[in-house]
Amino acid sequence: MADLSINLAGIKSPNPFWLASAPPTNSGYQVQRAFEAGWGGAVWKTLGEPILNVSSRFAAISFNGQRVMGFNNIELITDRPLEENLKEIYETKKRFPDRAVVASLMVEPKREKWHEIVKRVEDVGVDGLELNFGCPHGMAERGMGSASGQVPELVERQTYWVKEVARTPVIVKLTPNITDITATAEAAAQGGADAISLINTINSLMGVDLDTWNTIPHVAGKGAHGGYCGPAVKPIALNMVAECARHPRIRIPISGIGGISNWRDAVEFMLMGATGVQVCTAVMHHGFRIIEDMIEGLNHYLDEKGIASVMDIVGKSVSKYSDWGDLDLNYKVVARIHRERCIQCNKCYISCEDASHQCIERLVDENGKEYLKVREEDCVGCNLCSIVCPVDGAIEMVEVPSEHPPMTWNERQAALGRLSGCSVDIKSL
Amino acid sequence: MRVTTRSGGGGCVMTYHQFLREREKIDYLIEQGYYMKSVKENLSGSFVEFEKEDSLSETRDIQTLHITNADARKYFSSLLIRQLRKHHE
Repeated sequence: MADLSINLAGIKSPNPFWLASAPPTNSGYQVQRAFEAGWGGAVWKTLGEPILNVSSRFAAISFNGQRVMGFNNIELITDRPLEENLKEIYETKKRFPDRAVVASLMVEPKREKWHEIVKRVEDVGVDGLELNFGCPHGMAERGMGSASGQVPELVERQTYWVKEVARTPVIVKLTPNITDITATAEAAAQGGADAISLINTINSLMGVDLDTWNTIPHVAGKGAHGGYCGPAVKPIALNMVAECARHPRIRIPISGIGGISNWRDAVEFMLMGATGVQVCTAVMHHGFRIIEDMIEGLNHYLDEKGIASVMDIVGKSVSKYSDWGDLDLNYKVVARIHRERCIQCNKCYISCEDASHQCIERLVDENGKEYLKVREEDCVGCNLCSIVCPVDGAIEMVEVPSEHPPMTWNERQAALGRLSGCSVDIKSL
Repeated sequence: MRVTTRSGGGGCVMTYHQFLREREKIDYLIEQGYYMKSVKENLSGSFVEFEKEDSLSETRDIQTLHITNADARKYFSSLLIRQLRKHHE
């Protein structure tokens, strides 16, 4: 059995799976049941001045039979007084001293407000703080959440205020509703953050009812944008985590969030630089006990790879994530269709013919049997045929050796620039 | 195995043949002793200027190829990098 324990900026937990600050961490009852199930940590639902919520609050997108492919909410931060939450945090930490209990915080962007809540929360023994600069709805209209998180100067300044008094590690939770998340991540690091967590939810409108013309969800016939999460956002989140992980001026640990539903997702985030992960939507869909499969799956994966500690995989894929201009233009793959597995559905043929490079042919063999074949010299290796193919292994993407050494776009442009009479834009020489 | 084409693959055949044609022209000039002197790129593709010096007659011959095919642009770029590396050796 591998060692699954992590240490994220000084916050220790027996495994890398934390509950994200969200409805599943609203109360001591819930968090303690989560810990009983095996979760390594929990970020308490955001504390601040208790709010008023609306009804209804959630909506989801199902796609081709997969329920809750994407999830949207317009619920705000805690609606309970700080004292109630602190009492339950104290009790939870006392019952589960080995688990990470992190308090998510959100107050107005005023120094004294941050100082007050930090001191009161740390007095009950939390292991760390997470500053909620990400919540995109409701609180943002009051200058908090993503309204703060979209302005690097505000992120830096508020992080600095918190660090003035904090005795526990400070995680800054970032909003994805910004052009370049590394700008706010860097601001957090400049402000003294011990770690960052990302992503919070994405601005979204889930749909419009075709009969009533109401938004989904709606509140008495009116709607407002919510925060989108769930499996559909995972690629967006993974990219943002990776961009932060490879950024030279963001040298602080990352807590990965965004559509993580199983141990495989968690491994991907950790390989791309996250020290641990936070989960919400999968728990809202399936309950706390999904942690059993997550722990078991991660253990088997590490054992099969011969890796002693989960911390050993953190960031191992970051160097493989680069800029387009540094990719090898001479690398080539082509599609190869395995006749014995092909079911002749023609999905690959249609997609290649209509949407790609028309390099799949429908042929007839000597016995009059139809089959599909890729003209490899014309195949650009786009992957589309293998993506749409419904049969695993029927289409294989095969590397074709290049007659030339690797050549990136940047290298090419540099070479052109070294010639006289060049009239191309040159990124680097 | 005797096969007959039922359908498909119309568009790309032209592209591959275009690549072969342009590569052949590039290779021909290189074989004749030309080297790439300049490249101008615009909306129409790449215009590669090849030059060959005749030291005996002290003349220079310049040939320009209009390269329109994407793979052919990769091709001459790889040859150019090789040319520059050789030049620096």
